[in-house]
Amino acid sequence: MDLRLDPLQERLRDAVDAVLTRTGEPYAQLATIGVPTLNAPERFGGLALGLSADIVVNERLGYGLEPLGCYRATAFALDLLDGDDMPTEHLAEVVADLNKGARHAVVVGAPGPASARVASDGRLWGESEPLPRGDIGLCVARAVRDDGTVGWHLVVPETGTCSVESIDHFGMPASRLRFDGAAARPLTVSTAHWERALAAARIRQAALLLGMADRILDVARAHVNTRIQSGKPLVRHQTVAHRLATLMGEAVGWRLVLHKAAWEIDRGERCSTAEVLAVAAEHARLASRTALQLHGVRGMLAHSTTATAYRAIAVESVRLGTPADLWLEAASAT
Amino acid sequence: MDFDVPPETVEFAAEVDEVLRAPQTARLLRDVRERHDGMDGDVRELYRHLGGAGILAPSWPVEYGGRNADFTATVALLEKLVAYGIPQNLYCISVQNVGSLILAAGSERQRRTLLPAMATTDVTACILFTEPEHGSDLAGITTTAVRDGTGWVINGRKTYNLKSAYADLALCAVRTDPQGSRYEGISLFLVPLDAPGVVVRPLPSLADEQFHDIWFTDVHVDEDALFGRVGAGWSLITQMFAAERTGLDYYARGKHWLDVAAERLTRDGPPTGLVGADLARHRTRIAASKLLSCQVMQHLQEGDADIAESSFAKWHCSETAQRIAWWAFDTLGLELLEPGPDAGDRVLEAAFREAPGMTISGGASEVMLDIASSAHVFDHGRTGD
Ligand SMILES: Cc1cc2nc3c(=O)[nH]c(=O)nc-3n(C[C@H](O)[C@H](O)[C@H](O)COP(=O)(O)OP(=O)(O)OC[C@H]3O[C@@H](n4cnc5c(N)ncnc54)[C@H](O)[C@@H]3O)c2cc1C
Repeated sequence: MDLRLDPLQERLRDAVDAVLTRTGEPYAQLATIGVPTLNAPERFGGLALGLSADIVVNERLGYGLEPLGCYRATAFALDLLDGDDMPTEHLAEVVADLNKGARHAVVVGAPGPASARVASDGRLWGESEPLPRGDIGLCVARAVRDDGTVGWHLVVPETGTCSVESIDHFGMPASRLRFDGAAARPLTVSTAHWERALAAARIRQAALLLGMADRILDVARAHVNTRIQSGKPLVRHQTVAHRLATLMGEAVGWRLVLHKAAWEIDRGERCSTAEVLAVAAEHARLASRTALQLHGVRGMLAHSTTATAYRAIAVESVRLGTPADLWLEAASAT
Repeated sequence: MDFDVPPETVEFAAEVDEVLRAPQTARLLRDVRERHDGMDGDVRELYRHLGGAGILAPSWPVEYGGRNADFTATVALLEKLVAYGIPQNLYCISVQNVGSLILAAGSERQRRTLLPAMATTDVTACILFTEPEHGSDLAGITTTAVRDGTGWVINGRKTYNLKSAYADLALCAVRTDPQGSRYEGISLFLVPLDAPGVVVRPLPSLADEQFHDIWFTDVHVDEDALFGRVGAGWSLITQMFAAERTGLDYYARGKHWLDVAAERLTRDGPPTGLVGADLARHRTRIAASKLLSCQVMQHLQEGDADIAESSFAKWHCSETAQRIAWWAFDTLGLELLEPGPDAGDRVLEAAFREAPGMTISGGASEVMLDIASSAHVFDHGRTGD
């Protein structure tokens, strides 16, 4: 057993950190180090390096408090498409854009019941849940068909039948896709394939959340060491220090659990990850709530890092289901 | 023990209901929610309407604009204000905190001139204690008041206060004796916020109500702005905390949030499994919050205030309300973050943003527990060593 990052993971970590210090649109900046391609399925021009590499990228995005949902949404959509034997040559142009970071893909209707509907003429109607902001080049949508069954569909958004509205999602920039009779091509996604894609999406999401938690705990640690009240730094109160020590120690454990799950998925030995996302979401929430408390009233200022993390972690912690639901799923899987 | 509320309180609660249900109240509340002022939404006209009906200071003596009612009337009032969606912070700060301190410790002149106007909210007050470098360490404040020929001159900065943009007066803690002890050098003033030299700036908050940063530059106030004796500020602040930290407004918000969440979760029948168990647990806990808060108020009414008891009640009520807001989010997930036209949705989304501040405002939870443990856990607390 070797519980250190491997050299590829280390290089990737440093490269993502370096990219996040650059100015410019982070998604496009990430493309300059080949990130979308690194992890995309080979069929879509990617290197298929696997989740062990992907989680490093997502952890660092989390640490940078740059959730960059378009990155994970694209990976999820391509994983879903990868299961279908439909020819994808006609998507070559879009896929090239995805790999360049010029556009991204989205998955609609993954959590909860599907709300969009496909009419008998194959046209899609309805609207999406909040999605990452950016230029959407491809959409994989779960929708109710005319016969009442629910299935997956591929939509290449076109003006006239698809529109994107920029929205504010709990203070975070987001968008909503509206389908007004968009051409929707049915996809065959087997249960096993769906479970694999979902398991991978959850692992990426868990990595993002653990990275966000690390960041906000670092911010809290710095604050309690410098904020002096009654002649001593806040960290000198045991209740302050112990809470941070617990959370930081727990994070190490959860990260190892995450890396092990990714490693097992890459080896084809595992496909259920609900519990990994559940612990990451709960840990990140507790980290952001504790950090805010330890900042006192400053933590409540609208534009403070703590308030931003509180919002962002809230949104990301339920994006693929609430921890309560994930635990129930994990319980029924064992 | 007797858990019945007196018939007068039942009658009072019915009267409050009638006022709150009136179309005029609903219209004024809609105006507040429009936030025409680009800030919190000015609640003063709505309060004046409620104050005109004589319901806002039930426990104060009749001659000061109250009704001589017992503490259960105040509990009923707060529960109803929150349930009807009336923003209650300016009311709590002005009437319940500053007003009640004036009643308990003000001069007869201050009581006669200020209290009736505060009960109708023709005059409103905010609290200016916190400074950039002094939050939990309130005794370290550095804003000063220095005597001049005709009164006092105040200099310094107070920050992170609520509702100051809507207040006529500020109860302000300042240092009057820089040489004296940390505690004995503090005095309280009632400062008119329209005095020359006062500058108020908004600080946007994660929650719906903004904070303020206030600069005092050579602000001159008359001698009668002094509240209590020179140097008596700290003991007055402690007295106020014992009365302020009933936890009542935290409890009332928590109860309302739980009612709204329960309504959402029981739409398709009583929740079962974990959700049902959590709901029952929160209901029981919020019942304990209410009773702890009532116990503090009963002791206050009997002249038997206890800062450790109040501090624990504040801890219990705020932690419980916060847990409810978080649980509602954890259970409802994205649905809660996407407030639709349903008023209940907006309540829980706003609650989620307000919740973290509850265990910080009015004294951080850890400080509340320091006070409770000094009194009840450490040996020296019990023996007075
Ligand atoms: C919603 C809200 C409304 C407010 N309204 C007003 C107002 O109207 N007027 C006004 O004057 N002020 C107001 N305040 C400020 C409030 O009084 C202070 O926030 C509070 O006293 C704590 O001070 P601080 O925020 O500077 O935190 P700090 O003193 O810097 O403490 C930060 C954190 O450190 C920890 N900590 C502090 N002391 C201890 C300890 N002894 N042991 C263990 N841990 C500790 C706690 O987690 C605490 O939250 C408001 C604050 C909030 C959040």
